[in-house]
Amino acid sequence: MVRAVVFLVALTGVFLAHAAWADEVPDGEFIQCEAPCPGWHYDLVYQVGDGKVIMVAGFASEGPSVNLRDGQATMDVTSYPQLKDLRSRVDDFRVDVVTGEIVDSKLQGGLVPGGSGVLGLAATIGVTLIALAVATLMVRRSRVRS
Amino acid sequence: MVAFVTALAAILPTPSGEAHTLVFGTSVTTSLCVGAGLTGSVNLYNNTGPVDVTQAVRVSIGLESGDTTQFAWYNFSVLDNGTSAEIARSRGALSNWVQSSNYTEGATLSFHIGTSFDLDLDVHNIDSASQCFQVFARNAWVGNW
Repeated sequence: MVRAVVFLVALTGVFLAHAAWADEVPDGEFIQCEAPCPGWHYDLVYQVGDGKVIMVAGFASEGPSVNLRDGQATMDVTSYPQLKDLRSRVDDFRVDVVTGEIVDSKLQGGLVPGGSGVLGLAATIGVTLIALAVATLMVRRSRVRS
Repeated sequence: MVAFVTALAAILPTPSGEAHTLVFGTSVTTSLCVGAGLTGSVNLYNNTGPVDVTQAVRVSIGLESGDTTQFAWYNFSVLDNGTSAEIARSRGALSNWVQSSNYTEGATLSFHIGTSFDLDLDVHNIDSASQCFQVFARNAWVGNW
């Protein structure tokens, strides 16, 4: 009798667990979550020649994958900090074919229009050094006066 | 009495002993953000079975968000893994998706082949801005149990 009750309880548990799992997997529902969606992985497809970004694809499960054509390459961008911007502004991003880094042309436009990631970084460092030098001079002058 | 039952059993049609049920395969949900004037391509099912059954694959596509006036065409293509031949297809071209955040376009592709199949999707974004689409697919077939 006790064994029968234990068996029935276990059977009910398995059934409920299966029902809960089934509820977690939406069948044809439009998924509303902000990228990166939990459990998803994201791949970027770009042109090897000029680094132009063609597509950012997200996959809810293992199995599906991007199809690459001639002259295209892919990159895992699941943990890329700007993934949300990358998806919404695909045309503003490109891959630096030398460094392999993703470049946001919109952000870099103010520093080096059309420049590469390396040039943009160099420009940023240069501007920072000049600002530091100016600040140091101002501090020294103020000390001399006092 | 025994003779009567035996005779009746011989006359009545014998059930085959096989029951049929609809078996669902793995569901696939994918999101594609495609650049302006470019084509994005994904493989939704690769080398998928079982073989030698009639497969029915539901495919759906919709705009993720934003303006519903977007120019794009899409092409779902089922390929025979044995011959690489295209055996089923659903394609469309839209300028008005009516609603975003919903699967507004869909079809069911049915086929029966002796080998496994692939399902590929191409989305060409004709618009002047990048846009995102969400895609759903699921296969099913009739099995015995």
